Amino acid sequence: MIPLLLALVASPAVCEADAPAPLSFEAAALGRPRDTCLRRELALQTAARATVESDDFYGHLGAAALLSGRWALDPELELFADLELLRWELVLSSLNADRLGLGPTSIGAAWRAQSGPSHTLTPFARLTLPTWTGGARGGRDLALELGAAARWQARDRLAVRGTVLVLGRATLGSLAGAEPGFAVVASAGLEWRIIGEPGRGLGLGLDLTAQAGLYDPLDHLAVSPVLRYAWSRLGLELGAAVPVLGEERALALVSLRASWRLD
Amino acid sequence: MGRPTEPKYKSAVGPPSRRRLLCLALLLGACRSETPCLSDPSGACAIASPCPELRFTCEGGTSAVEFIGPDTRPTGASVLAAVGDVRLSNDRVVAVIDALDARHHLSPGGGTIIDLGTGDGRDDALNGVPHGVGLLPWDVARYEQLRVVDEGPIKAVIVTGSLDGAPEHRIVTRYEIRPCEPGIRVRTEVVNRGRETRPWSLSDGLFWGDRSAVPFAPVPGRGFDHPSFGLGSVNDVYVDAPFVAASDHADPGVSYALVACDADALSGFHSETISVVGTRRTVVHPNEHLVYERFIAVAGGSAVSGAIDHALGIRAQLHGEAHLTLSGRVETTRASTAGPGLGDEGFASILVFEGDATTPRAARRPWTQALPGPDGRWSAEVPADRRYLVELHSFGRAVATQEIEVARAPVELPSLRLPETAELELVVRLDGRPTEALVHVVPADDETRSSVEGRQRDGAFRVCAPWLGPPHGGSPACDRILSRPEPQTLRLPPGRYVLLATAGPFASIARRGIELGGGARARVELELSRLPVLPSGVLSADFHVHGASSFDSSIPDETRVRSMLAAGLDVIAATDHDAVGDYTDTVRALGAEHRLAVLPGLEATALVLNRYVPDTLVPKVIGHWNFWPLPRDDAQPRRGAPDDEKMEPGLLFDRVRAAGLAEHGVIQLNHPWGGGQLGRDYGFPEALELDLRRPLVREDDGSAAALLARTPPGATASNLDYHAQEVMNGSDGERNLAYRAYWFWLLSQGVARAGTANSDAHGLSDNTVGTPRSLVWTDTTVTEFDVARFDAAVRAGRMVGTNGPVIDAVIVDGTSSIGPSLEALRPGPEAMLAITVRAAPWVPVDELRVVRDGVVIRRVVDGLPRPDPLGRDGILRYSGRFRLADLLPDGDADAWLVIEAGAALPLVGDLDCNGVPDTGDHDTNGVVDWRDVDRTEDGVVDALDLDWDEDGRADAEGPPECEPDETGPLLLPRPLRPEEAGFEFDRLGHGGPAAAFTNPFLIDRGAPGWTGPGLGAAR
Repeated sequence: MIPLLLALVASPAVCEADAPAPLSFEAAALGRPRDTCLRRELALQTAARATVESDDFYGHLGAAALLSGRWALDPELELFADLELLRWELVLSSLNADRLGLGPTSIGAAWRAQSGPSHTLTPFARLTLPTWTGGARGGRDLALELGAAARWQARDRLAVRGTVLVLGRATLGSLAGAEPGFAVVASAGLEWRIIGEPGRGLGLGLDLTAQAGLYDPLDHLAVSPVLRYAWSRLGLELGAAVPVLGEERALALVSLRASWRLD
Repeated sequence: MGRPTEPKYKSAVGPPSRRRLLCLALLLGACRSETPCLSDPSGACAIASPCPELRFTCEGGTSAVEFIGPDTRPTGASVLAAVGDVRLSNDRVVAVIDALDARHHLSPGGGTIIDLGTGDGRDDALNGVPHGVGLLPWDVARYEQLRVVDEGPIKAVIVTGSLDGAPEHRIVTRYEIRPCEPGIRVRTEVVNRGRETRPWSLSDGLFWGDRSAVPFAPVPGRGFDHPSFGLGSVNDVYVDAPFVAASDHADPGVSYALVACDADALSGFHSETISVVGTRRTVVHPNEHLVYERFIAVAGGSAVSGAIDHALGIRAQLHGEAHLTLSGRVETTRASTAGPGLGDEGFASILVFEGDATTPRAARRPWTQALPGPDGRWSAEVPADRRYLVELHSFGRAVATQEIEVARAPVELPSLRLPETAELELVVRLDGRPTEALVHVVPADDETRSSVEGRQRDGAFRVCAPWLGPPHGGSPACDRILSRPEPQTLRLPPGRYVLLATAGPFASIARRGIELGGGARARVELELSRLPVLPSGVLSADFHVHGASSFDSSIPDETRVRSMLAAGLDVIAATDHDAVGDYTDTVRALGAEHRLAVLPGLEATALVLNRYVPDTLVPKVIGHWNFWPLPRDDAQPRRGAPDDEKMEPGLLFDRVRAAGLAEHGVIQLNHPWGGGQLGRDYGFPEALELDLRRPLVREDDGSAAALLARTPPGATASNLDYHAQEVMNGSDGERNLAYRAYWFWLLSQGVARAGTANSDAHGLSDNTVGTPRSLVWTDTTVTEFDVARFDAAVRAGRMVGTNGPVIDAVIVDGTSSIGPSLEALRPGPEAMLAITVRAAPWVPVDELRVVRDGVVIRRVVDGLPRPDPLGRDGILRYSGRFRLADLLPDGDADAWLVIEAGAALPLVGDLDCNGVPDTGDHDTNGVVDWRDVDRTEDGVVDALDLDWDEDGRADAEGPPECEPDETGPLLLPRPLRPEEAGFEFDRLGHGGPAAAFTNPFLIDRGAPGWTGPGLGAAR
């Protein structure tokens, strides 16, 4: 409550809110891109996924509610945390099973390394903690991601952005050993502010995200459209991710995110 | 060393548990100093000992682990152990883990329990316990490494591998045995190393096989009675149970019980074919794992209480659940030596339910089932602090009940008294000499029927009236008695009965009505006589018979052989599922070598689904194939039968030849369109989903239809390189018209295979061995049996198939007289077709048909006599001649002729539009349509089979045309009552129509060489 009150009286920072849709195909939500902004914000995101492989007698439906908090300590440093409050999954094959419980939690920090009139570079680090509940035994992923998000305002209403991150993952509590995994995730995209001022109004983004190395040389290449609307402190995002190359079998991820800026 | 004392269950929570808890608390898999087998299966990897909290103590216990050698193989009718398998044993039980290259039944590889019994293991009734995480082929464990562990008194076998076809998902199992323990401990671990989240239940697949051990789940409304399901509805029948048990009804009996050690319940589903039990269905993310620890208890005797007593003792240790001993006595009204008696399941069995008389049956929780001993004493463990309803069952019915509220002290119940029974002294003579014969016991009226209908153990298997004994065991079975030459006295529930005795289709029958009151004793003598029905030079053969070596049969070998003798068979092929069968020793022991020739054989029964059919979503198997003669070798896996999974028929033929199929041996396609079970088609053509309206695809164009005739990669034989096909299968002949359609389809396209008729009998009551049968025209005899000459006649198609009528048909051309065969003939213009039909008086012959190129071109119905079925006269039913030229079409195209006799062909339809008859005119309105489909599969076509909307209106449209799932059945018999005409054949023929067919006459015309008339000729 105290940070919230502090935020309400704090002066808003100038930062265009654009980023790829924060979606991941991984079970532990690893490899999500982020934006270059540092801010103070609370957000609630709902996401859903669907995989239907009739040839393999396989289906996977999932939905999650994610609570996110971002807290800019100063214009150069932000701490952030994401907690999956609720994750529901239904997996269908010859047998069906469902799971309802907490999802993973991640904490991290972002640092604005460079910022100019038209460009921003923000390295970040994120630690994902195995806070899953329900489901099978052991095998909870602990992951560390190191990356950087960059943004270049190419035109008045058009921005170009990109994220690169490397992630390392180890499995805790597994009878099969730690099974470390590594991946590189890169995304690049455009965002066009259709109407409104910087930081508010209606925007449309389109990104390409590639992940390599966790399972295959190319885990997936996905197209991610996002429609964003911001008014005053309220932000709404409708995003999706559709794999177009690689072995990922999910049909799509979709997400609806509502945020409230506290700065 | 004397016999060890009884095991005592001892609670123990020691250092291993604390260490496990610590490791779990730290979420660290690396707590152990050794490499986990899931991480690295090579070398001396480690997997925790199962059920560490469980302790048994006794004095003088032993344990052993060894690879089985030629002299250490357990023996028994159902034992599968072979040289190279591993035997785990202690002073109480024996378990056999099959070698990695010795695959059995549903498992894609070895490393699974295939035998489990007490003492020396002779009582084994287990067919195999593969492990898996689901029901698809790629959900099942395939083990690649096997290691024997000797840790002093603890002996273990560790097998490691992966899910079949998914090497990333590793799986490891440790089987462990310790002294004194009444079973074995098992721990299995599996990890999801894929990228997908999976819905897994780490489970044992307890393959009961049908007609054998019956599973028991202590769940309200279940017990031995389990809801039916298909692969698409299996999730609906999943249930949690504190333990799962099973027992068979063979002699010596055995019972099993599974208890989870690391969970409060076992989750799974059950049927008479398979129980799948293990962990609850769980969403398993990548890198997550499942662990399943269980104790599999074994006890002697065919009551399930033996193993359940152990299960409750184990749960007392693991979960602190108190249990107590219920005991009592069953009393009879008078002493008698008649069978069945006390100690036999047919006569007295105790079922214990939680609840009372007011508890609806569906809400009662069955806890155990016990059998009284010969002295009437029985006892069983049950959970404490409950109210129980104890039912005494006799002849498949509850005859007395008691209610009792128990605390924790043992309870001795008041005696339960059996109602008075009747005694029947039965003597059957054939030509004046006491003989083996099959006697049907049929209620004479509805009152008796309703008072004697029963089921085994309040739910297993089908209803019998009367229920004289387990329907798939020895005699009496269901409502049938196999009489013996020795005097025999039997107990029967009181009532009015008709006794119907048969010694096969070529002997007279005897019928006798009796009324037996409680305490009555009657002597019945039934006289049969052989009838001159068969021509000379004919041997009567059944090429499809099962016995206890089959996973789905539990009839003792002696009963099996006596049933063959009772049927008057001359030759049988012992065709057990996936194990070479042979009754030679039993025949010799009975002194029947001069009466019955045995062909050791095999029914290759593919069970592992795989995707070999193009453009078909679901994995398939290749159906069932019979082979004879084959050498039986008990030292080899499957008693010498080759592995038959995941290969096309052509490759299977090569494998069986390599396994010793004689050069003259016979390969038979079984029930080509026989349906299936749990996604496994019984017939190869049906698995390919052939459309018989289209021609045979002779070149491999990559289509599913082309699989029928292609030579599979790596094979020398083609999938069509078999010699014979069943045109009649099963005593009721339900699908014979479908088999006939396929046989005709091939014949018309120049692919001539010998047609056979076989019973496919698994016991005394499912089918009757020798009904139907193949009559083989051969110059060999039973006493000097020459199998090569016999097989040559079979392969040449010198046969008639029949369940009663005997057709003797020849083409007389000048001085030559030629019977049906696969050797084509070029008759002269004056050739005649001479036909004689004989049958026992009780066999109806309503019609004679001449079929040319698939079309009935002559029907003879007038003048066929209908003799007294209980008489001995009127055997000759027809004798006549046809001018052959009048039967053949104009022109010089090749043709074929088949002669049929018996009942008139029924009106049938092809509702799924594949050229195969599938549905009869059950509503008798002269049209076969969707209203004739028994959609509820309850054996009746009625209003329940229609679609009803919310307003109670029946759908008038029906399903779309050619809907594949809206068909059948072909035959829906209504059992005739004893007073109705035709009752005798209806009863002995299992409700099927009288039928006989000759093999074809192949008429070669025009250019030399018979190539068939083509499909167009039939149109």
